[in-house]
Amino acid sequence: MLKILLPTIMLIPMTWLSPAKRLWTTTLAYSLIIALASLAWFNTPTETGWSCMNTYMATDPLSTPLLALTCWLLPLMILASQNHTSSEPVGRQRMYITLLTSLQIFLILAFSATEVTMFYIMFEATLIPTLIIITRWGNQTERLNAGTYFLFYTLAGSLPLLVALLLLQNSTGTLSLLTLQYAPAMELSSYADKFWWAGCLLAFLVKMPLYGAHLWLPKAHVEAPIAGSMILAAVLLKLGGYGMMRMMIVLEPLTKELSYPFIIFALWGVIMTGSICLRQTDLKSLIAYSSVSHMGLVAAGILIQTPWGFTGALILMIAHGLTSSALFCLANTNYERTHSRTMMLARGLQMVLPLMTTWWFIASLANLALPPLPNLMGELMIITSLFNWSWWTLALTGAGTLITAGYSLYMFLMTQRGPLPAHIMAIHPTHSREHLLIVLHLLPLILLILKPELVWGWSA
Amino acid sequence: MMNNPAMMSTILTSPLHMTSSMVLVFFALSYPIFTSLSPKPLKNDWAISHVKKAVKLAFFISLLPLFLFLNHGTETIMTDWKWMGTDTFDLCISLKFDFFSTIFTPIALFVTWSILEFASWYMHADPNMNRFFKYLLIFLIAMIILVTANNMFQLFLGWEGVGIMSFLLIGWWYGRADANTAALQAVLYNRVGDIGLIFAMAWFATNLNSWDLQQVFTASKDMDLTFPLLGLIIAATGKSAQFGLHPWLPSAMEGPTPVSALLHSSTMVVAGIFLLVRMSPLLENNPTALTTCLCLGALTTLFTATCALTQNDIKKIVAFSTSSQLGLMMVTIGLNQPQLAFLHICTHAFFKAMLFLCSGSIIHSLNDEQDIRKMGGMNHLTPFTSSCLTLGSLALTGTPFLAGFFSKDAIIEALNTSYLNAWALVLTLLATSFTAVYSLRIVFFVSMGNPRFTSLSPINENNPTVINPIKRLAWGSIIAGLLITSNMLPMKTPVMSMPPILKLAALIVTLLGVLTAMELASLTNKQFKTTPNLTAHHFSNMLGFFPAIIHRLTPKLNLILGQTIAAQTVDQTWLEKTGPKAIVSLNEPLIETTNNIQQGMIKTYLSLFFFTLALALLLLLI
Repeated sequence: MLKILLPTIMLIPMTWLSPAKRLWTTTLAYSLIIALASLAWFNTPTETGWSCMNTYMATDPLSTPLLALTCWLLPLMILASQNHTSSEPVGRQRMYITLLTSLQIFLILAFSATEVTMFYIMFEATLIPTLIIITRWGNQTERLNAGTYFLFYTLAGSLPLLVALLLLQNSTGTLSLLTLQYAPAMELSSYADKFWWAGCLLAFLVKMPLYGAHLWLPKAHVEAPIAGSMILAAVLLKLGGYGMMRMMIVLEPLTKELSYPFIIFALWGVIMTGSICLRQTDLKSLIAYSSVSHMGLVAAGILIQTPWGFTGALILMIAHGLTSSALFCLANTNYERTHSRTMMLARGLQMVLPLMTTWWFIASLANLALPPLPNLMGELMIITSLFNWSWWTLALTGAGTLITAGYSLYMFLMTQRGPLPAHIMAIHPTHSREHLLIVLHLLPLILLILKPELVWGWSA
Repeated sequence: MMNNPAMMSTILTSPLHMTSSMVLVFFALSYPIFTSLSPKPLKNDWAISHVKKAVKLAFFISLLPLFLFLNHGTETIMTDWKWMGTDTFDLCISLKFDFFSTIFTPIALFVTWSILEFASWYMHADPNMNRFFKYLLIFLIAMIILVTANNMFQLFLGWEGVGIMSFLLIGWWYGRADANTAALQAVLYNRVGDIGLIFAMAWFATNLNSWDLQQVFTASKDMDLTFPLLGLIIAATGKSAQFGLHPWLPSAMEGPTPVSALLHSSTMVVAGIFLLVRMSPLLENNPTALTTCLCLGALTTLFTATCALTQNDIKKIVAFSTSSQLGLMMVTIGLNQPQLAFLHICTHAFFKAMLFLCSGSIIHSLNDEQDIRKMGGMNHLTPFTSSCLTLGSLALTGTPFLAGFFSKDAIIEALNTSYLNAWALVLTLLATSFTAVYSLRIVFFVSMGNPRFTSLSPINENNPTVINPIKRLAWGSIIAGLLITSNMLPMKTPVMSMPPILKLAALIVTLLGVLTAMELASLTNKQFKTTPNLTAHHFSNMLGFFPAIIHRLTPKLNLILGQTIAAQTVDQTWLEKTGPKAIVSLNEPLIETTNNIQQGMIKTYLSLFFFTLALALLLLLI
């Protein structure tokens, strides 16, 4: 555990001490080594589920994929931010990398925490660097508004969680994840108990985000710089899903009647946010709304509380993390060239950036869940487990897949196909850095086809 | 036979030969794909030297399992490599080489080989010809994955694979808005069908706990399968362009002609019918599903045949004829004769591919002119192509002893001798006669009469890459039906004796169709009516007003939902105005009130302070 955490912490002094000329290369190489080393977590010899333990931290099949994804994302963020920060003074560049690194530290601590309180603290701690990234490095003045929304939605959602956790601590005497699942379930008889139940989940549902509490997400995504969008879509939303899965064990037996409205709400959100995507003109906003739509499916898969539901949710979280992050990077390549997020202004790019079109195509296909990509495995498992609960969910999930295909291909056709407008004839060519960035997103996704058990969580 | 040890050993090892040669087929086909991933630019003749050769090679390899099957009846299932597994649900890579896949694979490869050769001529001016060939090859591989799949997941893989490759190929000329629209249409209509397939898969997973075909077949013996079967029928409706989800097929003509040829003959559109053929053990005991297939098929075959009658684009006519034939296949599934439906898939592949290649050749010769009203007299200028066009049309109408006859006649006979829905029977017979009408119309307008095109057309069919593929397919259109029917054992006992009128029904309605068409053609010259009756013509010419209504209404409603309800009403009003923005506007008056007091008027504050203090002191002292 520490062999990943300590190098990550040491990345901060290295950022400040390495010479300005080699700042990006050294940090990139260093973080990539950390990412590669983190893959060793997948090798779990123990049968009990928990491994790499120390006093406060451990990994299990549920947290390992998310941890590896977190570590994988840092080099990609560094790679993606290189261009748009190049005009800033080197001190600020160092500061930026430090922020990204601190985010990774908090995320590792959050995902590997064996104590719920520590998970809670780290969950909250990730807000700070993210807020700074959005409000300090965003491009438009709306970034301040976006930062406010981001902070207030998540804080308002998560403060009840603290109270709920203290109450739980009071009744069970421990908040260790290792033993919590053996604790007697709380009685959910009174209204206060039901509020406690809602308090336990609300923070995560806002973070996911559940449809209805999602307003902060498109704003934050649109206004954040590329690295912020990437980490938000790829990992921070997954904190919500991860937290829900952990809490579900505690809340397990009696929550069926309470969870039904949330499931329906999540599925309804898949349709509604999908329809919003069909009308989007703003590329980043489209990808952000598509994240809401996919995370709705994840929320429904978790709330259904079956092994297939959990597995599907975890697969979809990982797959969606890589896919949406890749899409944001692609959107950023357009943004850096045209300085606009409007899709109408960057059309027909296949003519000028043909290799980029390939990446756009693969990423769009991953977004619409083409077999055998893990996105499909996840969606199919969630759809099946929901179908097992009620046949009528298929009307929503089915329409959801149709709409997803619609807007993913709309995005692809809109940006890549058609004639090239005259004003972008002299567009800047692509860099190897950009291609590498996208390949490093898509390659893990494609390799996961061969061994999906890695991200199957408990039921693998 | 079994006493002969040499024979015995052949029988024992033939499954091995079968599986290994089928794996070789996959290897041969995917080799060019993998080598093309190398960053070096491909050679100009890569398309011919690698892709076409790979398909040709794969065809010859696939003949071995075919002969093994024909000689010994070898059928085998190959399972290896556990792909993924949960505690209770395993998924292995498993390939099924049975009657259907062993016969279909060589046919698909043969047809594709011809189409690729033709495409090397048709697309010679395209700078991305190598990429085009690569797409076609992946398209074919996806279809073979679908055909040989032994579990639903693999089938779904091939299913979506052909779908997405058709998106790329239909939208090949991506600078054109029409091509992009057509490509998107194809994917969206297919996605509607996919919902049905996902439904069926979810049902199988929850109720039977397996996606392996043989497990599904055995475990579902005593279950009511109506709902999953309806899901599969919806899937087939989308993929095979049955009524309701059909408009994408004529739109798909936006793609290059070789794409249309491949899409309509041996890949993509037959996938839907093939799925139902594959699932026929489930279908055969479910009257509801069968009746649905029958009525759906009959409706499709008549409707699309009607649409074909008045089209003027040569490719559109051929496309609608495919749709009509797919309807006929669906009828056959509904008659519970999956083997006959499969037979029709096989024979149809030859002549439909040939019809498309012929029209491609003619279109190219006439300077990309697709309107049959501007053709004519081609039998003098391109004798070979136009005679093959005629041959294909004849095979399509079911002229005795050509390929189409063996399947079509058998289907109509089975239809006539069944006790099923008479309406479906009438519709199908009507569609059969329409087949003759529009086939004659093509031949009449393209080959016969006088030329109606501009005089400077680059007419030249004397190129081996045009002649050879068409010739091969022409041979196929002549003998394929005979070859396949004489080599396969019917799974169901066909009714052999029937009254002559029933036996000859297919031929009679076809002849009636031809005669009516001739009469109509002569009527157009005489012009008895001053104002022609146009309603029926418009209905057919406008494709039953189906795209005009559905393609406007549905997207419009969806987009309105997205804009006014989802974005404006819910997101911006209910969620934002009553949420964060309401908090701001509720707090603002309070803030302003407290803020307004703090105006820095130090004299007022001090005097107020003084007076209150004085008052307080006064009160205390008193």
